[in-house]
Formats: sequence, C-alpha cells, structure tokens
Amino acid sequence: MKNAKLIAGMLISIVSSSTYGAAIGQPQRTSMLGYSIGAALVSVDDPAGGTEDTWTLQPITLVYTARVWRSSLRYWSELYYYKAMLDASSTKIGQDAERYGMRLSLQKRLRFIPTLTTWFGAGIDISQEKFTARHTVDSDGFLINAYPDREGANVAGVINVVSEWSLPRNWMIAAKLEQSIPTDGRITESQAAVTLLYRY
Amino acid sequence: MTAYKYLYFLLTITLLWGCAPGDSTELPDERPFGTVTGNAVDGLIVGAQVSIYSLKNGIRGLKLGEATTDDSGAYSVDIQSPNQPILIEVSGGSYIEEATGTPVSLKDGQTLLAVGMYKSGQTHNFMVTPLTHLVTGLAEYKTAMGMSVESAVEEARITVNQFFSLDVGDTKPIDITDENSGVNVFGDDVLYGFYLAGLSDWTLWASNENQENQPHTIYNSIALSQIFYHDLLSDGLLNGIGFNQANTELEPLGFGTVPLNEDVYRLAFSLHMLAIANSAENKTSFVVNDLLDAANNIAAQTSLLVGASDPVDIDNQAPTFNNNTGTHSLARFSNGDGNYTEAALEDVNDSAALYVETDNVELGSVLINRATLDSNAIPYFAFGVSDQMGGGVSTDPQDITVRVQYQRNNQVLNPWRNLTPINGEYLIPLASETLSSDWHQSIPSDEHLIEVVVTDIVGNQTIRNFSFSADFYVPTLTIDNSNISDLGADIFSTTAFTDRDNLNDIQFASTAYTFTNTTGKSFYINLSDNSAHTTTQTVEQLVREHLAQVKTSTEWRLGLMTPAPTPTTNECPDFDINSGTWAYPTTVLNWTGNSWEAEQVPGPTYANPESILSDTLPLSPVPLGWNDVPDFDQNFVVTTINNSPSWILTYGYDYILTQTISPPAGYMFAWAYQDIAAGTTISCPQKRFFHQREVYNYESLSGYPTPVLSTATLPNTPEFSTVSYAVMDNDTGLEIDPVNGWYQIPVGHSITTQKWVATPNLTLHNDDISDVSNFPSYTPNVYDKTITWSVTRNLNMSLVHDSGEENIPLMPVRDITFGEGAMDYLITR
Repeated sequence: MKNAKLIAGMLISIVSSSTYGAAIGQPQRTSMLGYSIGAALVSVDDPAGGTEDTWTLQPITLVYTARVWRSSLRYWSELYYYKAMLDASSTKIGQDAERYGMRLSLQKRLRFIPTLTTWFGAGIDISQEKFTARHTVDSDGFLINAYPDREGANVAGVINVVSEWSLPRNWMIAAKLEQSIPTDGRITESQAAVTLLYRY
Repeated sequence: MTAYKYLYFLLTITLLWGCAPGDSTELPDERPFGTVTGNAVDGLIVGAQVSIYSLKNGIRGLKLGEATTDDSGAYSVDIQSPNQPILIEVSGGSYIEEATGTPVSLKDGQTLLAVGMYKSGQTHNFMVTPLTHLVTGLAEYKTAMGMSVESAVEEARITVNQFFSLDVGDTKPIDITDENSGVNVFGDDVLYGFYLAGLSDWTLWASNENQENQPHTIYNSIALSQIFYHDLLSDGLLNGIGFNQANTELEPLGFGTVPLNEDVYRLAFSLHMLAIANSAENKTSFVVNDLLDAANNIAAQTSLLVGASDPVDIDNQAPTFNNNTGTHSLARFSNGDGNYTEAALEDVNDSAALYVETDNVELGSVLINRATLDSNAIPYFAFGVSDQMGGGVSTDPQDITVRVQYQRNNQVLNPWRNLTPINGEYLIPLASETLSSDWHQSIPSDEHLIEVVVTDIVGNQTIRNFSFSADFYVPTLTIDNSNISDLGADIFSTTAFTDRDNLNDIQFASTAYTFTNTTGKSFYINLSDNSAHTTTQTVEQLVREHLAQVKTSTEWRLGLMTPAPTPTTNECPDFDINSGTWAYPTTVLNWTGNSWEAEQVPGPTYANPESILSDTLPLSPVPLGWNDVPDFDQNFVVTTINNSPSWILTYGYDYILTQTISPPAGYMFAWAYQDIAAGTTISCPQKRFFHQREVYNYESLSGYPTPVLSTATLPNTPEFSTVSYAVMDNDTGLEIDPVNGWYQIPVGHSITTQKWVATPNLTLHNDDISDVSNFPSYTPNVYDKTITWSVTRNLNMSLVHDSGEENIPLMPVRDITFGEGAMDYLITR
C-alpha cells in the first residue's frame, strides 16, 4: 500500500504539471496520458550468483508524454511497477524482483513511413528495487540455499523507440521497444509494451 | 479534459492495479535427508572412513557425507541429495584376513568402492566389499565408454550379481570365522561370506607363491581387490589384462609372481572358497558340499565379466600320487628262517613277509624323516601328492588332505587321521606310533593294510593302499661265555672214588645261561639240546701179552749146467729138475758186461706184530711156489773154445757161483758145437734154472710173552643227554613255568636258564691188578682209574615274539645256539 500511494502520488504530479503546461502554452492537444502494458526480459545481476533471465509482465505503467514546444521532440515519462519472479536452480538464484520507478526520456520524431509516426528516444530510469525470496534449488526443486533480501535504488539509462497509430477521436495506440542499461548492473531490462494514449 | 475523464482514467488505473502481480514467492522446502547404511567387509573393516560422493556424469563429484565404520564394519551416513548415482568409498581402517587371522590395515590409496542409485530422502543399504569394488570398476569402465552413469551402474550391478548369483550390493556377508554368527540356514549371506573368505585363502596361496615371510603382509585381499578394480576398469573384463602404470597400453597383470587371468579369478572365487570351507578357519556349520554348486557355477562362468568362452575345469580330477614307485624305503623281507633279504617296499608286499625285529617296532625318539628312519632301519611307505585345480593352477599342498587308516585283518586298529607332510612328502613309518600300539602283536598270516585317502578341496579323492604281512622276530639274543657257567662240579668233586657208583643215573644242573630281555617286548623261549654228552672211562688193566710177527724170507735155487764138451759127448747142456741137485745160494755172480758182480738174495721182511693169546707161536704159513728170478741186467758172457782143427764150441752163460774157465751156470744160451772134420754144427736151445720163492716164519717179539699193566680207555662207554631245563626269573626269584614248553620272558627281566642232564649207568671195574710180574692170564684184570662225564655247553633256544600265548605255534621262530665246548666232570682214583 505504501508503494501504491507513492506511485499514485508520482503519477498525479506528472500529469498535473503537464496538463498545466499545455493549458497555458499549447492550445493544441499534444499531451497524452496513457496506460501501458508490456513484457520485459529481466536480468538480475545478483552478487550471490547467477540468475535466470525471465520474461515478466509489466502490468502497470502510466504514461504521460507531451511535445516540447511544437518541435519534433517530446518527453516521454512513465511511472511503472512490476514484479518479476526469477526461477531458481542449483546454479541460478531464484528470487522475486520487485521494482517501481519512473522513466523519463526525450524523444525525437522521425518519419520513415508516411503513415507511421516513430519516436526515438533516450533518457534515464530511476527506480527502487527489492529482491526477495532469493534462493537456489536442486533439480528436484528442493531448496539448496536461501539468501537474504536486498533492496536499493537503481539508475539506468534507457533508449527506446515508439511507434504510434491514431485511433478514432483522441485515442492513440503506441508500441514501444525499450532497453534499459543499469549503471549498477542490478536489473537489465528489455521491454516491449503497448500503450493506449489519450490525447487531451 | 473534463473531470469525469480524470475520474474515468483513475478508475481504470485502479482496476488495472488490481490485476498487478501481488503474489510473492514462497521459499521451497529443503530436500529431505536420506540415509545410506551398510557394511564394509573384506573381513570386517573397522575404523574405516566411509565417504559418499555424487557420481553424476560418472565422475566423482561432491562429497555428500561421510562416516566411520564401527566394530562390525557398519556405517551410516545421512545425506541430503537428489536422486543420483553415488559412489561409496571405504578407505583406511583395518580388517582380519580370514585365512590367517592376520590383521591388515588399508594403506593409502587402497580403497573399496561401491556404487548405487540414491533416492532422495530414502534409506539405502549398500555393502562395500571386494565384489562391489568389481561393480564399481565395471561401471566406471562402461561410463568411460560413453554409457550413462545410471545405465552403467545398473548393468555393472546386474553383471556382477549374475556372476556371483547374489546381490553383492545388498547382501551382508557373514563372517565365517565367527563361530557365533548364528546363521544356520544357507543363503546368499553365507555364500557371500565364503566368497570373500575364499579370496583371503587365495591370497594366502599367492602370498606363499611370492615367498612372503609373513603371509598376507603385502599380498592380501585388499591388494587383490585393487587389481580387480584396475583390471575391470582397464578393459571391462576380469581377465588379467590391464593398463600399465602409464595408462598407455594394456599388458598382463599379476599378483606378484602369480599371473592373473580369467581362470585364476574364477578359481580364486570358487576353489579357494571350498578350501577355506574345508579349513579350520571355517567356524560355521556349513561344509564344502554346501558350496559346491556355487563353486561350479563360478568356474563355469563364461559371462561378459571374465570374457571367457570356455568354462574353467573346476578340478574334477582326483589328486594324484607322485612317484608311485620307488619312493618307499628299503625293508627287510623275511626268508622264514630268521634271516632276511633287503629290498624296497612295494605298495603290495605279498611275495614275502616283512622281517621286523621286535626291538624296532616303535619310533621312540626317532624323528620322522627319511634320513633318521633309514638310519634306524625303520621301513616306511612314502609318497607325494599333487592336485590340479584346473586352469593350470595347482592346488596348494596345504589344501590337500591326506588321511590314513590302519587295519589288520579287516579290523580297524587306528581309524582315519590326518597325515602331515614332511619335506613335501608323506611318510608312514611302520611303527606303533603311526600304525597301532599293538600292531606287532601279529602272526605272519595277518594282513596289514594301510589305507590312504587324499582329498582335494573340492572333495575329489584318490585312494591308495599299502599292504604287507610281517614276521615279528625277537632280535638275536647273545649270551657270551661270561654269562654261561657250569654248575655240577661240586657233585663230582665231593664224591669219593669208591662211591662212584653213586654217580650213575643221577640228574644234575650242568650249565646255566643268564641273559636280560632288553628287546622292549616280552617273548617266549623254548629250550632244546640234542647234544650227545659223552662219558670217558679210563682203567688200568693187567693182562699177559704175547706179541709175535711173521718173518718173510726170499730163497734162491740155482740148477747149474756144465758145458763140458768132449769129442764124444756133444750133448746139449741141461739140468734135471727132478733128480738134479739144486744149489740154494745166498749170493750169485752176475755178469755186468765188464765183470762179475755178486748179487745178494733180498733180506727178510716182517709183518706187524700180532697179539697172540698164548705163549706158543702159531704155525708158519706155507711158502709160496718157485718162480724165475728176473734178470739183473741184459749182459751175458759169450765164450768160444777153439779146438781146431777138430772142433770149435761157442756159447753164452750167466749166474754162476764161482769164477772158473768154464764154470757151471744157471743160464746158458746160443750153445753151438762145430765139428770141423765132419763139417757139422750142433746147436742147443737156451736153458735157465735160476728160481726164487718166499718163506714165512712166526717170531715172538723180544720180551714176549709177559704180563703187561697198562692204562686204557674203555671203548663204547654210553652217552647221555639233556633231560630238562629250569628257567629262573632273577628279578622275581621265581621259576617260570612253561606253557607247552615255552617260557614267557618278561620285558627287562634277568633270566637264568639251567640245563639238566642225566648221567648214564656206567659199568664199573674193580679187578686185582697187583701181580704185575707173574700174571698168567691172557684175560685182563681191569680197575677203573678215571671216569669223565663230558657235558656239552650247547643250548638251543627258540624265541618267538609274544603275540599271545595262543599264537606261539604260529609265530616265526628264531633259533639260537649258545655255548661252546663242553664241561668235563670227572672223578679219578
């Protein structure tokens, strides 16, 4: 619940500030708010040993994006939360990797195809990570070793590409591919997501 | 954006939030512990380190647990492991070799291994033995050949189990040296125990082959197990072929000097299992027969484990006797007369009885070996034995049992007993200690039989019999002259001559013979003396004697012829033997060719004197007839009287008495008268009249007839004989009573035998011999002077061994004669 409140607070603050900016400087509707769902290939760099990469669903990602002064640039911000469960083996440390944070990237629109709007961006990812139930198991799934939980903040660089398609009325749908590169190596994430955006 | 749109957006977020992953991972349970228990057995291995390793991928992996074996070789290890093949290693500790009782400590690098499939959380029982060591070696080989470890372990386990017909990994072998094992039912555990003990026995044999001073020090079961493992690991076959130390090439393997091959292994497991079962080390109630099927099964194995195509010959051959002839000792064979002929003993000695002297029927302190038995003249049967186990391997002599039984006349006197080899051969001296204490109490017709049964460890038997009969002779008894004494002298010396008739017809002990029975056995004696003792009776006799002799004289006669020719008497010269006068000369002249020599008539000769029982001489014999005196020579005189011109007379002559011009002669020849005027010649035949004859006359010898007093020995005095004997036991002071003439002589006793004789009835003489000058009678008067009774010291003693009173007539007899010369008992006037 604490985490939920924190995320909700971050989300409201981002959306509120963007809305406020658009209202005074951009009569055009360039701000979009959306919800994204995706899957990420998560790799955890565990100091106790190797881990198994795992695909995990990223069910809750709130997106806010807005143009930067009518340019072909915009920023793309996300508040996200997910929890990845890494399988354990005798050599790989299984664990629950819980992560929430905010990504902010600056994107530039490049139009390679007339009907397709594609944004390429780069930015940073600031997150809070928590690794629990760290353990190894034998081939039969019996616990071999259990490791203490660990947690900490993570700063990573991200690059992404987003393609958008307009939907009727103010809705848009976007597909995003993103790669995060952590600075401390805790979690490396390759993500694909679909985002439903509402332009307002 | 309107407010409801915010609201709608937030509602959506809330809904999606509910879909967010909220479950947390629960930590899995830890793997449950399993237990691996078992026993380390090569003999019970105590104080050994038992380590259990993971055997994933066929290589020794993580150590899963460890323990130390207790006094019963048992171990128990709790491990926490997934299902996987495991390797159990036993190292260190010590065990006791079943075959020798030798404690053996496992050296560094010596291990026993076992493999098995571990099931997580379960309890397992894994034996670790030399046979599981085999399983491990084979499994590792199969793994190295690319087989999965699980399959390799399973196939190795099945192969080895089939080879030994038991589950080597699960069965706990019994300790066959433990008399308190309490196992009474034959099962895999018993068989397993005997297999392992058989290895100990085989390594004992191999240790001896390697001339190891302390058996099982180097060449022991654990060392052999290492070779098993290496052999299998090298090529997957228990065939004695394995990698060299550099692991570069295969080469023959050996156990010291003992080369290894598949047959050796099979024999090691089979025959020596039987051997140990047949030994004193086997404290169980199970015997060789219980194991024969298993032994045969092993020997017949042609499985992949040994790579052999032919079953090994498991010693279905009986042991053999070596040197079947010529090894027995020399023995004395009786000639039946107390003498013997020396020859070698045969198995069957039915041509002659053995000659055995009763002071040599026991060994006493004689050491049983050829040299001492030979030097003590104790005969013995000797033989060696050998046995082929099969596969070119000889049975250890220690594993060959030789048993012997002695019987006489089909009656067992000494039942079956084991015989111990001496210098590699078996000797059976013919003595009380080895046959029977009363073996010598036998009669010659008794049949002595020594049965020998040789049994190998499989139970194959060979029987050999030795038979003989025996003449038991009392050794030659010697009684020298110092132990022979004459006893009767006092009788004669104390009898007055005038009482000499008291010495007629008396019995007295004449001679004593003393000896001691040192033969060590009692015996019987029988005494005899067939000697004719003699008497000598010397007398003085007075008798008139007349000695005369016949005198033989030669007498010549000569008929002399005169030639005397006249003109008117021209008759031939002649002599008329009827009317002529014979001359009886004692000398005749004989012409020798040169001169006349006088020839004398031969002198008289005398015959032996004769005793004439009268003073008158007997008549002389009649003279013999006349016959010619032989010519003395062939020379004769020839003379011619020439009275020409009237006549001429020529003639020859010899044997004249006097020399004249024309002497008369006894011999004339070639007489011829030539009448010149008439011209005629008259010749005459030769004439010879020279004869001789012998004339006899009795003449008394000088001094005869006259009385003569002389000493004479009477002829034909009677002989006398030994009539009885007395046998005295000097130790008891008692006389020994004979039984049917036989006296029993106790062992060690001093014995004196006496010979008794009976004097004859002599004719005694007491005539008067005092008239020496005028005794007129030619019938003598006789007066005893000396009487001598001469008793020979001969004593014939027959000795027979005491084989029972009833057997005396059946026993061989030694006849001995004692005594020399004779004892003269005399009485004299």
